[in-house]
Amino acid sequence: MDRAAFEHLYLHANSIATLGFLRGMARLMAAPMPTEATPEMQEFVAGIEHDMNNPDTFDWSVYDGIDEGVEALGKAREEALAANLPFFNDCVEMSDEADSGDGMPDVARYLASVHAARERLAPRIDDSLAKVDHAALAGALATLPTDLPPLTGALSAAELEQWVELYEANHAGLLQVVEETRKPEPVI
Amino acid sequence: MIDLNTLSPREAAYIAHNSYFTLKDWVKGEPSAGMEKTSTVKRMVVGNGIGSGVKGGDTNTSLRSTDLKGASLNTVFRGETAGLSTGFGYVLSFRRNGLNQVIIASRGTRVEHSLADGLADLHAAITSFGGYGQVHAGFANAFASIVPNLARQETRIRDADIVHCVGHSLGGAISTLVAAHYAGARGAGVKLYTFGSPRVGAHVTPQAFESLIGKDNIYRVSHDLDPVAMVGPYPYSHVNGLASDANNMMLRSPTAKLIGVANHDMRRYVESMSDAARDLSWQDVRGFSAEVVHDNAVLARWLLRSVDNPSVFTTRLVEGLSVILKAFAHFLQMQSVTSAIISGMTAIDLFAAALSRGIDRYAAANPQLLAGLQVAAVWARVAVVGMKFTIAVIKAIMTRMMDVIKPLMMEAIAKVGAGNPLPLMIAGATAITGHVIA
Repeated sequence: MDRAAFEHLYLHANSIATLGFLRGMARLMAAPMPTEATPEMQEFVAGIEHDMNNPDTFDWSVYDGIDEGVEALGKAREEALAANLPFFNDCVEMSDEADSGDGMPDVARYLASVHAARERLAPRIDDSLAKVDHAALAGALATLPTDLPPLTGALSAAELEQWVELYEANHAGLLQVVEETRKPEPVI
Repeated sequence: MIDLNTLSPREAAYIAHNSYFTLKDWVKGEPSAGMEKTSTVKRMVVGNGIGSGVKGGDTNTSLRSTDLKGASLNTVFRGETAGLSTGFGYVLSFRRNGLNQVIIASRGTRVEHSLADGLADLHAAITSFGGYGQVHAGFANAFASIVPNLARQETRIRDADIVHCVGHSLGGAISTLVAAHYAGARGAGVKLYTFGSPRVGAHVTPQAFESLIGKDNIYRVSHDLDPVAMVGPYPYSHVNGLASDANNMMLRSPTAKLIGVANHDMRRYVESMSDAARDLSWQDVRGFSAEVVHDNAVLARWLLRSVDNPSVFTTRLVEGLSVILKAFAHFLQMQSVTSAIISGMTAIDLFAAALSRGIDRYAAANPQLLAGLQVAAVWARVAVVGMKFTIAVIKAIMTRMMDVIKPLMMEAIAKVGAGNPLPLMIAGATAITGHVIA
């Protein structure tokens, strides 16, 4: 895949993941509240109260492995920051409303913010292109529907939204493309 | 109306602050191992309050400007953590309202060698305390080290009409145990005042302490975004930890909506307990607390941003996590769950509780939540595509949360009290995060 195509893919994959996340959260927040607790939730709360009153019943293994995980994250973050490359999520300006997950994101505004961050992200895109698993990515791309404009080219807001909807529908190939594309960029 | 049998907010805050001067050379801004001279502690507690490291314009927390100006400093006592013996607090006595009253002040504990206590994890570190329940061993050990020293004041403490136990941060935790100890020994007449205290006991222990001391006699003050006051995690909980508890006085943080170490600084607590025009009453402080929203949705947002480390904590990852937490809190609200226990929990507690009770069943009962959490977890890359929203995912999220809070908590404690960056930690940082900090 050439640099120009991967740049589009990188920007779109990250946009799809972020917009899918923000839209999902906004829908969850807007969901109507049931008037009564479900039996499952009543049982959940009763279980917590039972744990509090019966010290021997609490499962302390819930904390197993977390120390090791925190240590690994710390090392990974040190390495990621030492590379001195920009991060997608730090470069793309978001609205306060979208930041807090309270409202539905404006796809057009978001896409404009992504494009505004292209130059800043260039070193990261170069690095990701060098590290991405090209075979796995090509395999996943081959499973995408052909009736939508390709992710490796420019997309309008409306076209990007179509991809987001496919992502929200858990299209396996698209989920894989998004994951493979984002994988080289460390999480900090 | 002023209650002369209760320390005022300013008196309690000053005591919690000036108890740090029992640590050798704290007054110079260069604390070291050992205990400060009694004459110096006396100057800082009931004298002019001015030391070489505490200039006239700095916070002067001597009690000389309060109704306790005539109080007598009876002793400065030692405590031991990690094999290191240091100045730990003091006993002060005074007569007011016709009653003999005693103050036992404890400062945060010194632990350069946090691993020395051998605290591997929360479960291993838990120990029984006086037949009242389970507490963190780090606090219990520190308490045990000061008991022999307090015993020299046993007659005074036993014969006093009222015993006031005061502390900030880890000193608040130790004071909780001191209060429980003397409440058990005396039967009544013990009051507890804490500022930014971590949770001390697990399971039903806090309720046992409340019964012993009396909920009305426990004055627990915290800033809503003080990272130390948020830990250790479930099943640890606070005394007077319910949102409905009148003396659970959670105040707006100095850093507004930003979590930060400044919210733990005792000087900020002194400011929160002060008013230039008048002495505040506890009723005033309760009024301030009423302005703070105590629900889980707000607590879930504390991860959103930190003022202290923007290079890491303002990342979208943290924001994403905060939304995950917010979603979970929202889920509970959606279910009209009104359990008092739930209302006192942070988002970390909720996740731990959910893990302990088997999250799968509850998430499965709400497909919308499950879908929302899945997409958030994938976006934040704490889970991978195709991974079920199971224990592994929640643990990954909890790990991320701990990864955020741990450095904040450590920095908060390191800057405790006089505000000087210090190589100080507590006896078993495990008590704070639930994890050993090397």
